[in-house]
Amino acid sequence: MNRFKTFLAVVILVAAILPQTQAIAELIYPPHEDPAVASEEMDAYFFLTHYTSILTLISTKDYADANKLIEQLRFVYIPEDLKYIIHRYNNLTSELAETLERLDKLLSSASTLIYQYRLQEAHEKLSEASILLGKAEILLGDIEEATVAISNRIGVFAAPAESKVREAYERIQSVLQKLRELENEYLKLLKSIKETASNIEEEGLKPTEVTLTLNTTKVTVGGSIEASGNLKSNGEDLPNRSVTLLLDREPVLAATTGLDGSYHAVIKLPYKYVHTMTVKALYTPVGDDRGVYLASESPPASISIMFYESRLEAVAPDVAHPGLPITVGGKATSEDGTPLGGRQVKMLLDGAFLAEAETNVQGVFETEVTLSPMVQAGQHTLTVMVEPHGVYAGASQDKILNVLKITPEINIRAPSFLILPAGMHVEGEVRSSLGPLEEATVTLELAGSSAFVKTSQDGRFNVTMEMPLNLLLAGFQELKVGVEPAEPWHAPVQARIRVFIVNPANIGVASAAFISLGAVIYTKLAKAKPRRKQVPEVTPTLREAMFASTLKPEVRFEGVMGKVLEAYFKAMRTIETRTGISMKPHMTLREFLWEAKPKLNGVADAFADLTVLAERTLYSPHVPGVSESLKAEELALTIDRVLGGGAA
Amino acid sequence: MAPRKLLPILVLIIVLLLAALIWFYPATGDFRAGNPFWNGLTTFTVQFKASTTESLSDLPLTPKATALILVPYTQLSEQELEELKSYVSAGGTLIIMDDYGYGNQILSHLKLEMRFAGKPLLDPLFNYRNKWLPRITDFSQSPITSGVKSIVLNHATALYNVSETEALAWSSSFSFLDLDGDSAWDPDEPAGPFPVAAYTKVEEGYVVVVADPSIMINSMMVLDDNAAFLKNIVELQGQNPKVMIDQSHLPREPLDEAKGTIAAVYALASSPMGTLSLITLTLTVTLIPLWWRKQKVE
Repeated sequence: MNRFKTFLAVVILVAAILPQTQAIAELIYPPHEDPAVASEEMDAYFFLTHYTSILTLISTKDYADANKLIEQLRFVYIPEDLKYIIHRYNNLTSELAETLERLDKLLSSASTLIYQYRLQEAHEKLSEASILLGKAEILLGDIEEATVAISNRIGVFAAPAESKVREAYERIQSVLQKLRELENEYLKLLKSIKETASNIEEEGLKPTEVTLTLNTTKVTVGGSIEASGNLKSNGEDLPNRSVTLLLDREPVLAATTGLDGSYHAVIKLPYKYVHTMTVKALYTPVGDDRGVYLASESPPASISIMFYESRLEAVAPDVAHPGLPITVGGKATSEDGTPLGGRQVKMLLDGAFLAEAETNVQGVFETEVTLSPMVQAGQHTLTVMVEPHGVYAGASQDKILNVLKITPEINIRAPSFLILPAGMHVEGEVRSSLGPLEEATVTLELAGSSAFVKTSQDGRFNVTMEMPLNLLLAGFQELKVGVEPAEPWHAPVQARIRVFIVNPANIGVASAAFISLGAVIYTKLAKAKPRRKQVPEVTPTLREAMFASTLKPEVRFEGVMGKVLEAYFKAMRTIETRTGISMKPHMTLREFLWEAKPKLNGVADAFADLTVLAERTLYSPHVPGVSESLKAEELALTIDRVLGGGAA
Repeated sequence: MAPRKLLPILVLIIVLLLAALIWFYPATGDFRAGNPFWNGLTTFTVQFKASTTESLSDLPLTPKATALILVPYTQLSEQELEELKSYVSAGGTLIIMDDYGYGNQILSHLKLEMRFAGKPLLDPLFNYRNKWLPRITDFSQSPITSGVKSIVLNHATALYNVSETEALAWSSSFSFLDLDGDSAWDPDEPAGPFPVAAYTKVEEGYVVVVADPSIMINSMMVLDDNAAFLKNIVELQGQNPKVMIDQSHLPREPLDEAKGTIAAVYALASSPMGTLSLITLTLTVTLIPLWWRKQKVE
């Protein structure tokens, strides 16, 4: 029964702890796989399809979109063994797109120049285009070879002829053929332009010459210059022709030549604060002049642009806090120290617009700028710039701004001693150099328990933490107090204090365990000792009775054990009397048996049995039953009857 | 000592050792905050100082500046749905990360149009290692996608009924929904691009929907800009929010069950009544045999 109870208790305990096998709602699909060991695979069909798209765009001269798709290639997963070859393939494709795009632009530009009879410039472009065409041919050849090699590596040729992969491969081959055709198209165009240029040259068109003179070589920014010159052909003035004036290669004005072939124009310069600009005059034949004259360009004329440099002395704090305003000010002056009033001042943080202001008549500005609450702590660049205005160039100054969060201080009042379970009252206040922190979240953690509280307007907080019993016995624990400020300019802060915690429950359990253990050990020891003592305790009584020839009448054995011993005593007395062998104090029951046995005719076995019964009664934890006491008495009677009858 | 006495003691010791082993062995279940293995959330938890919640009843009453991450792999009760609604309405950021679970139940309760497709989203070209790990490179302009160039999903799904203004990220045009589960695109299967992340304002709060919870597991946080994307999501309403991860709607593995049982036993034992009972039981169990023997001897 006991065994069954023990077994049942253990089964219940194990069943409670061991994993439950209850049904868990299974998802239809696995939620994920370990990416570190996920199988590498590359879908040849989609890979080739993507390249087909890129090459198709190139073949249709949609280079911008082709480049976008090429850019996306970096997001395609390439197995390690294919990385190099595909990386090269991507580079070749990218290079081909770039080469063909440049070639297209050069040929277009050359064509325009030819149309304008600007043969010299056209030749330069055509020469460059020829080189690019050769490069494109090589690249295309490489791509064709690489396509075959990659297709082989990704198993295209191992796929059945009717498979999607083979279809994709056929499509990419077809697009490569189109690229060949495009290349031929460019070659034809190049040849055609060259032929046109050659034809023009053969036509023996009249050369022209355009001159350019500027009224000045120095001009204030935004000012005007007068440009004049002549247009001639073989010394003959060309009247009523349009001469285009180029400023830094950009056409700005067209002037018409007079009867003497001269032209005159006023060029209004832009407010571009550079120190030098270049002016050229360009004549391109139009209308009836086409097929008669060649184009011409004047030598460049440089002009120095004059303007006043502005000076800016910006003043900004070195340190700022997210979400808090800072004052940025300064003074804008010209080179000679003249204050620049009415000037727009912009402030940028890491290049992003922050604020703007305007200088007063003294050239001074000052404004409050609030940093974004989201700005990251660390070093930032504050750029203060004065916008250019009229003859005054702009100016800018960079300032290093250290964005910091203010670390608040926590003042905590908590008990230093605690007996569990208890409600621990903690109060305190959170302040910073700017004053108390309002609405800050205070988190308290102690020995596995936690609590949250918000600070009041004056930065104070108080909370009672419920501290239940836990595994602790006693000892110091750290109370962690974390503060998460509501304001972005305050940094989170933590503080720790030590609290001595006593857990009487666990001390009780431990004490109970020790008491139990002590009790068990004590009992065991006590049980072990009495066995040794029990012999002297009982035996002396017995032996006293046995060896003192006169047993005191008051010595009595009680209970079942007493009956067994009393029977043995009677038998021993009988044997002593009949055999003359006496039980000596140093003798054991068994030694007495061995000594007396030869003289116990017919009752040796009975006395042996009785001796065993007496020994068990005296020395073992076994408690004899009634049947054993009866047996002992019977054995004693038998001995008495056989050895002489009657009691001694 | 007699085997009869030794056996229960040995079994008790084994049970206690087993309990200690279960207690101290880290969780191994998917999306468990205490799971340090590839499928756990320890990296996320540490990085965002996230706390876990085992019941939606524990959500803060003033949820401003908090973000709740929910992986709804088990059904939600009406009460839980109401709690979520209250949480969002009062200003919390609810981040529903789901693929094949019960995310639509929440979206429906919040009366939002967007839905999880619930079918695997595969991308055979733009991916990390294989088509089950689609790589997302197309993002809309939003604070959530700031500084994010690409993210990698893991056995994800797609979203539908998402408006242009709500969508945050799209899969590539090579992606498709594998409706028949054959891992290959068939002509009747919808092809991308599909929205995979979206967000919308609900009263005072925000609901962010991501079509893959696995983006935040330890092994995925390190890939591409996944960590930056998640950071932007949790900081949608400001920096350093209090991040909570719901653990009550995840499938429980046998180890989780065992840990839960031990935790319950521990909680019971650490209550005043429990501790008192334990002391009484300990004393009774150990002292009764002694008392009984004494009686027997007498």
